[in-house]
Parts: sequence; C-alpha cells; structure tokens
Amino acid sequence: MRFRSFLDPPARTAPWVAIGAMLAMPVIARWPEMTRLPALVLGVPLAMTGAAMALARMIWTINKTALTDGGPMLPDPGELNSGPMRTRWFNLYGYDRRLFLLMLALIAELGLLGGGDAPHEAGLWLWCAAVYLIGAANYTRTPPPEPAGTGENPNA
Amino acid sequence: MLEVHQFPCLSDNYGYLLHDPVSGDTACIDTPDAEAYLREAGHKGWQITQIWNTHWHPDHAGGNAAIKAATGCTVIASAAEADRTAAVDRFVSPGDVVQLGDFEAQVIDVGGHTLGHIAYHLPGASMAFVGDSLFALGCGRMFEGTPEQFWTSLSRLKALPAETLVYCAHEYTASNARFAVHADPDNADLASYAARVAALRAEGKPTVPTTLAREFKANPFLRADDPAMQARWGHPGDAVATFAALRGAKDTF
Repeated sequence: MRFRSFLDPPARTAPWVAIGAMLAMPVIARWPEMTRLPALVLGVPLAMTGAAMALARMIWTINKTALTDGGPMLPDPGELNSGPMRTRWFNLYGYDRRLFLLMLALIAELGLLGGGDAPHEAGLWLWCAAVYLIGAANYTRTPPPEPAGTGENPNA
Repeated sequence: MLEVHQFPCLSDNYGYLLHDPVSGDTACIDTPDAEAYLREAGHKGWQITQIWNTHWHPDHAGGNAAIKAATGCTVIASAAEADRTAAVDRFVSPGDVVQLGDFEAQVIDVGGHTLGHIAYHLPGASMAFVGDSLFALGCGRMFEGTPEQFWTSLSRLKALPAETLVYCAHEYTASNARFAVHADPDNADLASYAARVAALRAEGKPTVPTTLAREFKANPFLRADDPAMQARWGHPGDAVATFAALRGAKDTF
C-alpha cells in the first residue's frame, strides 16, 4: 500500500485543486495562445494523477477481494480520510459530494465561456480536471459498512 | 504501578489504555475505535501520549490517524508492516524496547496471524499485550504466516514468566473454550477453566486478561508440544504438525 503515501495528498487536496482549475479556466479561455503550454504542463499531470488514483482504487478493490476470504480487510484508501469526507454533509453515497459539485461548476463555467465555441484549450483543461476529480472521488470513496465476519470470531 | 483501563469496542474487541501515573504518559494498545479511546481517556482524565500497534489490521490500527490528530501522540508500529500501517512515527522490530514513563516494554515477534505481528511485554509490570497472536484458550487465525512461524511465535510467549498477565484483543474465550474442550477433552484444568468462562460470560464479564500459567495448562494451541496432545492429534514428537492440525481443525470448527 505504498501508493497511499503518494496518492493521499493529491486526493485530499482535490477540492482546492478543483477551485484552482475553476479560477484558471477563464484565463485559459481568454488567452488560449499564451496559456496553452502551462495548461498542458499542469493539466496532463493532473489527469494522470486522477487516472493513477482510479487505478489504485481498482487495485485495492481486487486485493481486498483476494484477501477477504474469511479475513480482515486491507486498509481502505478512503478509510483514513479523517477530514470532511467523514462527515455526513459531504458524503454522497460514499463519494465526496464537493468533488461532483465542483465538476458540475467547471462544466457550467465552460458553458458560460462559450461551451463548444470556447477555445479547445479550455475544453482540454476541463477534461484534465474532470479526470482528476473523478479519480480523487473514486479514491477517497468511503466504503459501505462491511458485512459481518465469515465466522463467529473471524480473527481466531 | 501501571494502570490498565480495559473497555469493549467494535463488536468484540477490547480497547486498552495503559497509564503511568508517575509520568502521566498513557499508551493506547491498538486503536480499533478512535472515538471510544478518546472518550475513555477523557473519562479517566488521561492524556494519550502514545499508540502501540500490534499489527496492521484495521480493527487494530484503524484509529491511529484520528487519535494522533486529536492528541498529537506518537504512533509505534511493527517495522515489518510499515507499508500497511497508517500515521506511524516510529517503527519497531523484535528486540526493541518502547518506554512508557519508567516502564519498558520489550517488542516480541509473534508473527503468524499477520507476518509482522508484534507483542509488547512489560516485565516490570508482569503483563503482555499480545493482540491477535494469542487468545484465552485459543490463538489468532493464521492469515499470513506458516505453522512453523506461528508455533515459534507462541513458543516465545511460552518463554515468558508464567505469572504474566496476557491482554489479548478480542473476547473470543467462550467459543475458543468449545473448541478447546473438543481438542483436549480429558483436560481437567481446561474443564474447570471453561466452566469459569461460561459463568463469567453469563454475567457479561470479560474473561480477559488471562495468565500464561492458566493458558499453559488449558490452551490447546500452547500445548502442541505436549506428548499427550501430539498423540491425540496424530503427530507424536512434532509440535509444529500438531499445531498445524489444531489450527486447521479450529478454522473449520
């Protein structure tokens, strides 16, 4: 589970990164030529981080399935997320409600900036941010309550 | 004199707070439920300064981050499980010593339930916190280790002084007793122990801590080197095979 030390920080800061992406979007749409390179330099790693988080979550799920044959669970990537994710206000079926609201806000923002007529740099920026947000939401998903143990005393 | 505050948490775990009144230091032994630990420490008026993890399972280390965030305590865990335990400040290995006030706890390798499972033995207080390696009348399920490894681990616990108080992490004794009686039906010590367990559980009282002396006489897993047990389980002269047979039988009991 070494991936946690790499992926927990970007997952936890996802809402702030999303707000940063929203602030950057009008600038990219207004000056696409000037911002193309910085947007790519930031956007591609952002999307890759999101993909890595989604992949890590998938690996965890597969490992968990492999190791839960009567045994305890592996630590859940979302389990130690002691921040707002653990509160009811932000929990949307186990996902971080804020990330979905921010993604909707990003889409709406692109719409306000011209939608399909907006510079494609802005659209690409939205895609990168969306991949990142979906990955982070998936990674930090709070697991549903586990079923009871397989035996009377599963650890013994 | 160290004080131990024992309280139930989750479905069948025991939480332990170990407090040294001289230094004021308090250690959580594992962290199954952060809220319960913080609440109990608050009731006692103790400031949590350390967490001692026995192994990585979430019902033992799942509350590390929350308790550390709330108290700023130091988290100590097995170096062999470094990549599976969260929020750890100090990794320890067998032979290391951890300190609570003036009391020293020796770290013992008790792998078998998990590969890097450790126990904390406090010779000065005649107590040992063994996590899921040893239970009253039982031992932990062998999730990661081998029978050789697990038997070696139990042998290390067997080498501790008989008067040592054993604090295990779950209240499993009643069901363990049913298997123990099945495994060793002619053991009079076990029969009286099982009767006492039934009486305690009927009153809703804990059966933990136990003592090593009591377990030596009645715990079938600690008696895998006993010739009578070896003969009964078909492996004369082979403690590891006897332990493996007992463990396998318990898994499906």
